[in-house]
This record gives sequence, C-alpha cells and structure tokens, in this order.
Amino acid sequence: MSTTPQHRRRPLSPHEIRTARIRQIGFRKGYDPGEVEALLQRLAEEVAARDGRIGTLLAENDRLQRELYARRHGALPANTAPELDESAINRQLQAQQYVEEMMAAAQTNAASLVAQSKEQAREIVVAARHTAEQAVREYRAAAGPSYTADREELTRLATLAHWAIRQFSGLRSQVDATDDAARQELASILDRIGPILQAHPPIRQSYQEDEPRFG
Amino acid sequence: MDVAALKASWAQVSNLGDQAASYFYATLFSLDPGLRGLFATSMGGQRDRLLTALGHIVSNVEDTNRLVPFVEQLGRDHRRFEVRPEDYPTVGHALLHTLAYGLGPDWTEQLAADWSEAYGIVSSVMMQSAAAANEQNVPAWWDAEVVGHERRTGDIAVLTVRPERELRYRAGQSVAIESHLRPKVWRYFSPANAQRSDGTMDFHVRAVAGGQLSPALVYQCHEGDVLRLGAPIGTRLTVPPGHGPDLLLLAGGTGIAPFKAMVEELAANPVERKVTLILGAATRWELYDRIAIQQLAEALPWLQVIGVVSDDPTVEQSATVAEAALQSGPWYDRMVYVCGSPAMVAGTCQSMLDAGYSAASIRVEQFDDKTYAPLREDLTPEDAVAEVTRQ
Repeated sequence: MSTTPQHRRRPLSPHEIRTARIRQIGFRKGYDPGEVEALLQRLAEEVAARDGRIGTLLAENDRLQRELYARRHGALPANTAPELDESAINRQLQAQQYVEEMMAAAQTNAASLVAQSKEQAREIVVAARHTAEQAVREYRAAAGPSYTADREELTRLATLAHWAIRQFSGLRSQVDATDDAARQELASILDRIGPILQAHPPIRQSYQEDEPRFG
Repeated sequence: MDVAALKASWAQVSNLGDQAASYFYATLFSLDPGLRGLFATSMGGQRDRLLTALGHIVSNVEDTNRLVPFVEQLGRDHRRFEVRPEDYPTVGHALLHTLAYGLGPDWTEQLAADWSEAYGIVSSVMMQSAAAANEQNVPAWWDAEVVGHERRTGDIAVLTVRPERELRYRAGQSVAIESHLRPKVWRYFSPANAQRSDGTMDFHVRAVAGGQLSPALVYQCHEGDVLRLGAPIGTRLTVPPGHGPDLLLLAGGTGIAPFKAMVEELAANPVERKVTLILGAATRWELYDRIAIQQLAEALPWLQVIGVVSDDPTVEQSATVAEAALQSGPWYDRMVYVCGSPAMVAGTCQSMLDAGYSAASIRVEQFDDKTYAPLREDLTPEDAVAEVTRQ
C-alpha cells in the first residue's frame, strides 16, 4: 500500500481506496490485477456514497434533536453542551498562542538571518571587487612589457575568489552564532509550554513528527 | 430564516475578528482533538481564511445563484483537507458555540435556530458536492513525484514534478502545493510550462525568508519526494483562446513562470499575437531562467524579450520592470499582464495606472494564504495596490 504513509491514521478515504496499490512479490500466483482494480473502484464509490449519506444523516439527526429538545422544553439546548468545557477551550487557546509565538519568533529570526546574510554577502562582493581592481592596478604597474590581458583577468578573478572565500567563512560563523541565539529563544518558549503539556496530556495529532520542525 | 438578523449577528461576531476565529478553533479542537491534525502548526492564515469564507457566505446568503457554486467548490476543496462527513456536525457545534460566545446577551433562541438551519443547509451542500466529486472520480488531490530539483540561485529552485494521474490546466492557472516536509501548509504556485504530453510540470520556487513552505521546497525537497497538488484555479492570467489584443507581459523574478507557460501555449495556437515580455530582477544572477527565455525569443518571431535589472552595481543601466515598460511603450493597445512579488505587482500596477493605462487593460492574480483562494479570482490592479499600501 504505497499511498498510505504511516503518519496518516484516519480511516481510508474513497480516494485512498481508489488509488491503493498492492505490492506484487515475485512470480507467485495472485489475483487478477484488473479484478482487484475493479473491486477497489466499486468499494471507493460505495464508501463515498455511504460517507455522504452518513454525514447528511448525522447533520439531520443533530438538527432534529435540537428541534425535539426545543419542542419539549420550549427552548433550545444551552449551547455549552456537557462535553464543552470552557477551561479546555482556554487551554487550547493558550497552547495555540504559544505555538504562534514560537512560529513568529522562528519566522522573524529566519527572515532577519537571511536579510543580514544577503546584505553581508553583497558587501563582501563589493569589497572583493574593489580589492581585485587594486590587485589589477598593482599587476599593471609591476608587469611592464610582460603584461597580457589574460593575466590581468586571471589576477582579477583569483583575487576576487580568494577574498570572497575568506570573507564568506567569517560570515558562516556569524550565521551559526545567530542561529544559536534563535535556538535559545525557541527553547525558552518550549520551556514555558512544558508545564502546560505536563498538566494536560498533549492533543492527539494525526501525524507524527519524525524530525523537529525547527531544525 | 431571518436573514437580516443573521447578517447583523455575523457583523457583530466578525468584529471580534481573529479573537472569534481563535475561539472557534479552540472549541473545535476541544470537541474533537483529532481534528487538530487536519491543520498546519501555525493557524494565522487559517483564521483569516475562515473569516473571509464565512463572511462571503453570510453576505450572499439570499443570493442562491452565487452562493451554491461557491459552497459546492468549498465542499470539493475540503476533500483535499481530509475532512470527513462526520466532521461537519462538530464544526457546526463549534460555530454555534462561538457565535453564542461572541454575541453574549444578544444570542437568542431564534438566532440559534436560524444559524443552525443555515449551517445545516451549507454543510449538506458541501457534503453532497464532495460526495459527487468522489463519485465522478475527481481526485481530492494529485500525488506528484519530484523528478527534477535544480537550484538556480541562492534562493530559487526549479522543481519538475510528475503527477500520478492526468492533471489538466491552462497556462497562467495556479495549483496549491503541499509537502510532507510541512504538513497541511498549502501554497499556490503557477506551472512554468504549458500542458506536456508526459504530464510533467515545472514550478519556479523562491525561498521566502521566514516563509513556511517555500524554504522547504527550495532547500529540503529532493527528487523522489511526493508532493500533493490541488485542482488548478485562476482565470485572470490565462489568455482567452482565439483572436484578441496583443500582449505585454511584465514579470518580476519567479513571476516569469506563468508567462513562460503562456508563451508555450500561444506557440501551439494557430492565431498569432504579438507578445512583448519584460523580465526584471534585482541583479543579473537573479535572471535565473534567461537562457530558456532567450531560446524561446529566438524561435518565435512574434515574441520580443526585454531583460532589466534594478539593483546590480555591475550593470550601468538599471531599471524596474515598470520603468522599462513605460520607456519602451506606448502599449495602450495591449492587454497587460503583471506577475511577481506583491510589492512588484503593486508598484508596477501603480506606475501603469499613473501613466494612463486603464485598470481594465491590466490583469493580475495573487493567491495569498489569508483569503480562501476562489474569493480572489476577481482581483483588480487597484486591489493589488491597496493591499500592499495597507500593510
């Protein structure tokens, strides 16, 4: 079943049934692929039709129950149904707020990191070009009759490359330092979320993280 | 159903804006924590989309001819988000609870009955159209394998993907893309090629600093990854078939993508139109697709290409796309298409409007993550300018 990644735990949808692929192993006797395909198609259609009907019936049931309640009691049920607990809603609100804060911090850091790096890269290129032109002037002055245009261009390019490489490795260590600062900021937000998560078990996710989102 | 009361109560709740939307999702996830997994980690754009879509429904509630196609599309689209029919009553419950919270003492039994009825109708139309789309074998999304990933500059990559089933689209349309690297984050991109016989599609992606999906597509995505693509949408950047005015295409950066597709599509068309493409970038290095564009210009006599850079110290003459357009014009008889970053689109539209080009002759399209996409299909150049100015 190649189309169902492990992290999706919800029941198979009609689309998933329709596009399901069953891996063939070796040359053993098996089922007629055409028949399997036809069966999957039929199943997908039937499940889709049933899903649609179940949904309509549930909605209709919900509506009728409200109407019944209203007729019996002369009023609609209080919309704070028993399973709706304001403190749970508030916990959700708070958790989401922390998540947004963390995402915003990560995004701002990423954006400023990129902007700084671009600006510095630009400055490095400008400075490298300047240094290269100076090297070319020195070459011209020193070359005398052995001057060639090719050597001038080589001098220019070599100086440019040397200078840029040296500077970029400096930039990299600066980027790493900024990255560390960003990680610390995110870790401090995680520390604040920790106690909330311990007090209330984390909400179920339909996918599992196999790598940290902020790597 | 008391439509006036419905609208008035919505106006009151939507005044709370983000707060109401946050409360709605908190209620929804308390009712069914499993539903949290249907959404991205960051919910900011999601809240905006909810408010715009709900607002559109409420304000068109008595206009069935407009409302029904919209709600049907909403229903088909929600298959992509893996919403099941049994989730609809939960959403209705959360919605009514949010309205009660937002209206406080103004929440009456009559309003509860009206909203319940309205939601019941909308959700059953959504479910029916979703079920109908499933029965007609319309995919909820297309799985597409990345068969090519090429970094062109520090932050631009060209991805080639092969959808597992046929995905038909027009040049200039957009498709939403999701990657397992950032679950549930969908962003719109416009294919950079006209429909090919092998079905492959090219996407030009620039890593937006601090963006949610684009950096993952540029730096982490590999050949062999499987992306999900949504159904193509958009009408503003497509060229109506048959005879029509000549075209002026103004592209900034990766905004070249839909125009490249458009030129390819026009090349396959027996009706010839003159096309001038002005392609701009900050520096020469950022003109990442110039070789392919030059080849197109050499092969197609009706295509003229002008490349400009606006911020390159090694180039003597620098100009923005708008400046180049106005200098090389006049283009009053042309249909003008603009595509690029929101700032580039806004700036270019403003310059063209100031120079006397009519809003009706300028076509733009931008799908952001703040508005439910089909609601942006009639974006005008003035809207595009206003949005950027407001920010």
